[in-house]
Amino acid sequence: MQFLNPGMLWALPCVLIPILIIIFLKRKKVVIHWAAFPWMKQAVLKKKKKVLKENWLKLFSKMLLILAVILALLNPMFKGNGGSSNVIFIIDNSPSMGTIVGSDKRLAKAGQFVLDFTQDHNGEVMIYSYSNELVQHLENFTLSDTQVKGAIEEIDILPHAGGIQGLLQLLNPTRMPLLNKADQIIIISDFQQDWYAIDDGIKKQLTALTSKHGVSFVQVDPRVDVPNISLNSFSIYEDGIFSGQKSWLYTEMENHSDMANQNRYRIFLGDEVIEDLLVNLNPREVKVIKTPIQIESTEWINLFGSITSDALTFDNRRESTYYLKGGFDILILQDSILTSDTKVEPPSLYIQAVLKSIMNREQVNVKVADTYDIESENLSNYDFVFMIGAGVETDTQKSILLDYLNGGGHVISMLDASSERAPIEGLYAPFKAESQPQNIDRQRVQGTWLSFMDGDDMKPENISFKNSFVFEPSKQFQAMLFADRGCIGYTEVVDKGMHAVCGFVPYRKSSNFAFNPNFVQFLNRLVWSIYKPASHTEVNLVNDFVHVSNYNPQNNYTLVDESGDPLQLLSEGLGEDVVLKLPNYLRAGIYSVQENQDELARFAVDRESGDSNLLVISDSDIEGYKSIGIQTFEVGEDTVSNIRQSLTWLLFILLGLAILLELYAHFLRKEA
Amino acid sequence: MSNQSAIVKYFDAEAISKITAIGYKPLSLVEGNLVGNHRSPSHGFAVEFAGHRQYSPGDDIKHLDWNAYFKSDKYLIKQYAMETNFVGNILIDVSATMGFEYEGRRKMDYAAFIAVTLASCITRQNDLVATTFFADKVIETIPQTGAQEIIAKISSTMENTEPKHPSSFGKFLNHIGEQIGFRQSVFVISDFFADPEEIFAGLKRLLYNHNEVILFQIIDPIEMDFNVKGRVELHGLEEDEKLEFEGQNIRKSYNKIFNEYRSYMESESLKLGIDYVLCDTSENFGVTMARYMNERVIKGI
Repeated sequence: MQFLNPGMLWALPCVLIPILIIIFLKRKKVVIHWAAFPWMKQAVLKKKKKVLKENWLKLFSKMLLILAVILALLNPMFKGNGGSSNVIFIIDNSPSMGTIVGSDKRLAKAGQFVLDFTQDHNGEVMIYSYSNELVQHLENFTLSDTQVKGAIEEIDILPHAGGIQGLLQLLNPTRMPLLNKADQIIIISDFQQDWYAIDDGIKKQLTALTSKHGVSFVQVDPRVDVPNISLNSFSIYEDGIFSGQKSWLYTEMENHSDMANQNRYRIFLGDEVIEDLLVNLNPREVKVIKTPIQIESTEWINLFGSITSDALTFDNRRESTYYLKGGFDILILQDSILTSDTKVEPPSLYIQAVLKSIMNREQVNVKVADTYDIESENLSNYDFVFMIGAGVETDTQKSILLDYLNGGGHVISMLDASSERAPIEGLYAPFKAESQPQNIDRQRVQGTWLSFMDGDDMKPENISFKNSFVFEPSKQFQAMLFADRGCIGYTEVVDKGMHAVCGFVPYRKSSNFAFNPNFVQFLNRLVWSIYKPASHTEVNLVNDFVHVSNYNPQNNYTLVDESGDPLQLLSEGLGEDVVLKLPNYLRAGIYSVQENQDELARFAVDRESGDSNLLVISDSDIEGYKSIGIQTFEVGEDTVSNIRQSLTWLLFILLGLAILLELYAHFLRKEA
Repeated sequence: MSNQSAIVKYFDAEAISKITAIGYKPLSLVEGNLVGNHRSPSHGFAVEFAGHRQYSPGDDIKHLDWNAYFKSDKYLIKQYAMETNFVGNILIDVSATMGFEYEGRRKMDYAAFIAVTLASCITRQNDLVATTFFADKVIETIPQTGAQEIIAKISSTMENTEPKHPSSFGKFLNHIGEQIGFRQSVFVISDFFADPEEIFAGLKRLLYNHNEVILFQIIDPIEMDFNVKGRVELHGLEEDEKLEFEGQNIRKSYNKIFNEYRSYMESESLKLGIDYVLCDTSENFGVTMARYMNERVIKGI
């Protein structure tokens, strides 16, 4: 006999409670010096045997009652002998079942289970496989091992995801004519996708199913076997580099620290995570590895690279890569003094290094120019302009910058905050603590600027560049915010025709800020903030739209896949709202949208949707199944004969016995 | 001083005044030594005419009823009823079982109150009281007296006597039967926790001598209805034994057995013409006694 809820075995000593109560009450007695002793003695002697009998009966009945309750909670099961029941096997043959565990595929293990089961079975057996369709392999059959083996060998992995919802839709007498005859339905799977997220609808369907048949889930290669990922492997977030902002992954691990203790994890590599990765970590590309996943080592996840195979290795992997759409043209205007200073590396080198680490090298086109070359540059060619230690000095330069800003350009000014060369007015003045200009409330400014890049205040969560660092005159709202944050001084300066400053980054000249993670993070956020609308592909969108600014109906817009084959893009909408619609179905791969053969955007399409979550069975999941009458088993312990039947009748017998004993005791008492 | 304090302890003036007012009159004839208020079995020459008898030689002729002689031509002697006092014998059980105490109620105390009240009532009507304290033997005796001092003596003795001896009614009643003599009132105050056959055998001896016997059986309510819940350990007051059981399990059975015994006591008393008074220690003794005395008055009419 086995128990579905063996944890309740700890409650067994509770059976002794009535005895303990008796012992306790015996200790607590009233002592009386009694006069009418002979009569009492007579009464006691007369009653003694009956009372003793009655007490024993009452004691037994109480103990039986407690035992019955405990048994009810234990949910005892006994091994079935196979009997002559009709059994339907449904074998999951989705791709995850192809995972090789040890020397065998999961599917092979499932097959072996069926073979073992049918050996002692006298009834009818039906075997179906299922990934997203139900395929019949054996039905209504007088069994022989060879035939079952043959049927099982027919089952092969199919390239579709399996899921409970689909299966439940298929489990009906139309598709399975003998369903109504089935005593037992045994579903064998690794229960990898969505099986444990039982919503109310699924619960109702499962309950309906269990009311007609015995339903058992047999799990092959349960995920509890996934090797350990220790929290220490993510200590990168704890050493200050990312202090104050934990990644999704770290948070996820923290949230499931209870599972970590049990070597169980939930790692979601679905759409939300990818989004999270792109927005928060900003790797230059994200490789999404679909399940099945075997985690073999516990290396760090490379913050600015992909989740590398050094950290996670994948069996039967399916990768999807997400790129930034388009590229970035960046102009770095650098004070010539900085360039000529041989003692320190010019800041432009750092900026380039960081930008290229953020994005694909090919996507970042950086040009470094001397401050005085503003007039000779066509700023509109650049997505944003870095001004390092530089300001505008002439009206021409000012008007060029203003035109650029009004046209939607972005200027990031970087200033050596420790410099003694700050001029009396203009760019340097507001950032120098010792010489605050008039009309500027430094305290108010403090909250919006980064005092020093290597200072403690420079934390990613303190960066609110959208409103303060990126000044976009075309957007009144942001300009207002900019003013509200105490940066009025800048705009006044611009109005006077001296400087045009939209955002600034103070830095220490002597520090190698390229290795300063705060700076890296700042640039990450800055770049992705500016380019977010067109920065990367949407995940798994087959009905994607490509927004094309300046759409010209005369031009030819095409979608080109990796092999260079063009696909026609359809336009929808009018005027500025025109979008190009992607075809409904795109095969997995990288595509670029071209306008007259010039690339406008590049994106990737995931190979398949779904099947991307690594889910581990949890106790509450199992409880969820139990609550609706489904038994769950794991292949590998005592599998075949573990399809057990409930011993509910035992409870009734115990309860009945307890009631009978109580009644008899009552009868004895009455008689006495 | 000790007498006074004893009086204070068992002297209930209110009860005594009530009982004295009702008074105790023997229902049968009594033989006393002095002239009193109670009818004597002897015929004398006093106030109340009782009847005639034949003259026999030697009779004083002054008692001849000449009127009767002239009517019937017979010599008849006039006879008158003689009145005498009586002796109330109070026998008080001071055996170990009388020491039973439950929830502050002690049977010995209850017995003491009854004895003192009785003694007070009898002596106030100029009759005599003799008191014997007994268990398996006579423990203490107070000779018959008509003085009120006996109240203090009874009270003092009851206070100073430790109930430790076992009961032996048969032995004691046989002994006291010889001592008491004829036509007296005998009050037995006890719980009568002994073999009823033995008790009544002894009492029959008293009845044989034409004594009027009144039993005051003092019982605590808990002894009549064993309403004790939970685990109980009983130690015998006269037995060197103990019993352990669940109170609620035994209650019914014990109550039945005990009340059978008590009913036997009552019915057997009735059968032998003995007055049986059940004294519930939870009830005021004065009320119990007054009830009984009133019943006697009615019976006497």
